[in-house]
Order: sequence, then structure tokens, then C-alpha cells
Amino acid sequence: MNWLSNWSPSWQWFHRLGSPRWFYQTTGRWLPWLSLLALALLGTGLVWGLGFAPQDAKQGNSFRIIYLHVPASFLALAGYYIMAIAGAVGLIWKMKLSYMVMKSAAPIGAVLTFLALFTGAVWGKPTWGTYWVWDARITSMLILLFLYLGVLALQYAFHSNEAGNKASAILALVGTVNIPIIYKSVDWWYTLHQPATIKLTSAPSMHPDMFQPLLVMILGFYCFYVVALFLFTRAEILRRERKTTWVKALVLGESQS
Amino acid sequence: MKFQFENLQQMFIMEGHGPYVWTAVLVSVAMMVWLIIKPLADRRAALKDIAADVARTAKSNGET
Amino acid sequence: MASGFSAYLRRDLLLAYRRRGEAASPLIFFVMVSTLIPLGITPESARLAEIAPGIIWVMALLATLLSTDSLFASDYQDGSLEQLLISPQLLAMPVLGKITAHWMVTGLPLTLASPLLGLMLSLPAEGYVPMMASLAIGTACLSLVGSVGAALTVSLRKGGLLLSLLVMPLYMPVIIFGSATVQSAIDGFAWSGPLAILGAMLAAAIALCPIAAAGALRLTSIN
Repeated sequence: MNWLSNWSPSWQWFHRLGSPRWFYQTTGRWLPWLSLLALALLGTGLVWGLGFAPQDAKQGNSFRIIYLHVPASFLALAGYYIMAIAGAVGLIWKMKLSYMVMKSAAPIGAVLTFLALFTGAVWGKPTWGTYWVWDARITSMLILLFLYLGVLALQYAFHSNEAGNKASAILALVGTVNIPIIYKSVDWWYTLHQPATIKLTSAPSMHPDMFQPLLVMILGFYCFYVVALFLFTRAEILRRERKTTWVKALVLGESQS
Repeated sequence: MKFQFENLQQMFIMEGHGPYVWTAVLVSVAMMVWLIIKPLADRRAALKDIAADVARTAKSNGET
Repeated sequence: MASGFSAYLRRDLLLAYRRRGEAASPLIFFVMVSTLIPLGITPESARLAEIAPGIIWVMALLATLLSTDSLFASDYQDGSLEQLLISPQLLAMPVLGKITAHWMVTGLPLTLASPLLGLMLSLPAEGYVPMMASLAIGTACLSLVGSVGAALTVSLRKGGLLLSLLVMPLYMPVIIFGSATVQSAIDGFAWSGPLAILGAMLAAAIALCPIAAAGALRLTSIN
């Protein structure tokens, strides 16, 4: 991969991005603003969605759970791709920082997947009268949670950090190839077995008054995700780079101030 | 845009759906807060650890 | 390239033949668990027939999972894996040879023994041919996908349980279409559709899994 590094100056940003020090310092500057933005968006969206959005004609107020369920599901799936891409970048360019991002994305994604399942189950009780149905989307979500747990378990099974990183990066990539297959299969399986008593009311077009707060919540979740990812990665950087001079200087600077 | 409930208590009850909606909200908020607190605590622990490390090496360097 | 494939295929088959007892255990497991089903659920043949396709498929999956652990383990322990890794040839071909040998000593016997299970679980007569066809193709998919997991966990001391956690979510499409093949035959529908999808999965798995497993072996077992 040598040709990549002396290919053109436009790759400089890429290598700077790969420096944990640069990442730590830059995200340190961004974090306050990002956190504020995330908090503002989530607060607005939640109050808007829970208090001001009109209630659904069929489902009543229980539909308000959508404002948590849908964003969490979005980020759960997007998070897996972010994790896998970070792992792939780590494998291809042997970038330390990229592995740290991958390792950080796993617990966040697992928690968001769990949240999507949990809010879905709580929403299901008043809507369909049961907490759990083997619906296509719910089943796929559950499999996604298993995929996340696999990556986490593999990461921590290795004593050497490096081997654990590489192994979980490969697993994440294999999972990425499989996700579309799993989703399609589960979809097909569900059309085969669809229970007649339970019909999911899918709203193809949402009323704008309901949709706008959802959009705010989705944006808020994206910001939240980035904040959490930065925080996890920064903690990981400190753990891994503890022997470097810049971290020591950072620690000394912080103890003096 | 108008407030959909007569008062805050009505918003809490949500015509019987309150327990479900508020459980979902509480659990979501709790887990999201955990996602923020966990790395912050990790970072603090790491900083403390490294500070102790730095102090130890500085001390042993001074003695020898 | 092809010589690496056939050399490892022959070698692993010979090794399996020498350790016949070990190689037979997935098969024995497969048959033994099937006695638990009537004991645990019902001996009534009508109800057994209803769940037979799914049960047979789940058990085949578990039996394959049990044996996947050993795919690279003995080679790792006696050092021959390291020799394979430092040899200049493309690693994917010998790996594919090993996977094929693994399928021939696990998936193939399971497929051949499945009519016996079908009999014990009173599978309807229309189900036998599709069951064997889907098991033959499906267990090959399972061996291929499992090889990636086995390669990832080979250097871990207690990799067995972890391996099943990693691989099981990836197995789900196979079991969906495998049991659907049998089920649709029993229900009187055409069963070539789901079987063709299983075949497509097998083709994709043959192309991708040996490469992924070879990469995993290279990256995680040399430290």
C-alpha cells in the first residue's frame, strides 16, 4: 500500500485524520457545540413529538413512541455500517484510529439496537395487544443485535488488542455482506408465514405535523450518535496512547490547570 | 401547532397510553445518558491512571 | 492453485478417516437429539409431522455448528496451519479444500441420515427429496460460513462457544430457505424456488467465504 501514501498531496488530510492526537484535539473543540446541538434537537423533538404533534387516528397516543423508535432503528442500522467501514479502513490502511472508532461504535450500536427493540415492544402492547411478534422488521432487528453482540464478544475475547481489532473488523465486514441477505430472507419468510390476526398498520405518508418532529428527532439522534462515538473514541485513545508524550503532556497540563 | 393535552397531568396519562409511552421515554433517556456517562467515566479513569504513571516515573527518575 | 485444493481435500479426508469416532459424533448428535423431540413435545405423529421440517433443519444446523470448531483447530495445534500460512500459494484454495472435506464428513452424512430422522418424526412422504436436496446444499453453505468463524476464533483457547455466537446470526438465511423448501413441498407447492435461492447462496459463499476465512487466518493466528 506504499503507493497510496506518496500518491498525491490530497491524501495528507487522510493521514492527519488517522492521527489519534489530531482526532483527540479536534473533537475536543467540536464536542461542546455538537453536544449542545444534540441536546437542543432532542429536547425540541421530544417535547414537540410528545406534547404537540397530533395523535394518530388509529393508534392514539401510543403512536408517540415512534419519535424514539424510528430514530433508534435508523442509527442502529447506520451504526453497523459505520462500524464496518471503520473496520475496513483499519484493515486496508492499517490505521490505528480507525480500529478505535470501530471498537467504540460496537457498544453504541448495540445499545441503540436494544432501544429500538425495546421501544418497539412497548409500542406493540397497546397497538397489537402483545409485546412481541415475529414480524419481519422486528426479527431482523433482533438478528442485528446478535451481530453486534458477536462483534463485541470477539473483541473482548482476544488478549492482544491488535488481534481483537482485526478479528472484529473481519467479522463486521462479513456481517455487512450478510445484512442485506438476512433482511431479504426474513422479509420473504414473513410473507410466507404472516399471521392473519396481526396486521401492521404502516403509514405510507405521514401528516407533516407528525413528520416534522420525527425529522427533528432523527437529526438529534444523528448528532447524539456522533457525540457518543467521539466520547467513546477519545476514552479509547487515552487508554491506547498512554505511553506517548502528547498524552503525558496533556495529563500534566490538565493537572496544573 | 397546539398543545394536545388539557394539562400536564393529562399528558402524563395520555388516555391510558401513558405508561407505555413514558416507559419508552424513560428507558431511552436512561440508556442514552449511560452512553454519555460511560465514556466520560472511562476517560477520567484513564487520565487518573496516566497521571499516577507519570508521577511514579518522575519520582523514580528523581531518585536515581 | 487447484492442486492446493485437492491436496488439502485428500489430506483432511484421510485424517477424518483415521479419526472415525470423532467424525461420527455430529451424526450421532443429530440422531440422538431427534429422540428428545417426541419425548419433549409429543409422540403424536400428526403434530410431529407439522414441525418435522423445521426441527430437522435446526438440528442439522446445531450438529454442523458443533463440528465447525474443529475445522482449523488441530492444524493450529500441531503447527501445520502456520506452514500453510507461510507458503507462497493462494491461501483460499487450500482453505476451500479443507471446507469441502469438512462438509463431506459432516454435512453429507447428515444429509444421508436425514431420511431416518424424517421417518422417526413422521415427515410426510413428499418432504423427503426436498429435505435431502436442501440439506445437501444448505449444510455446504453452513460449512462455508462457519469456516470464517472458525478461522477468527482458532487462536482462542475457548473459542467454541464464542464461535457459535458469531456464526449463528449468519446462518439464519440458510435455515429460512432450507426449511421453507421442505415445507412448501409438503404443502404441495413448487419447491424449486427456495432451493434455487439456497443454490445462489452456496455460489456466493463459495466465492467469498474461503477468501474471508483465509484473511482471518492470516490476520489473527500469526502474532
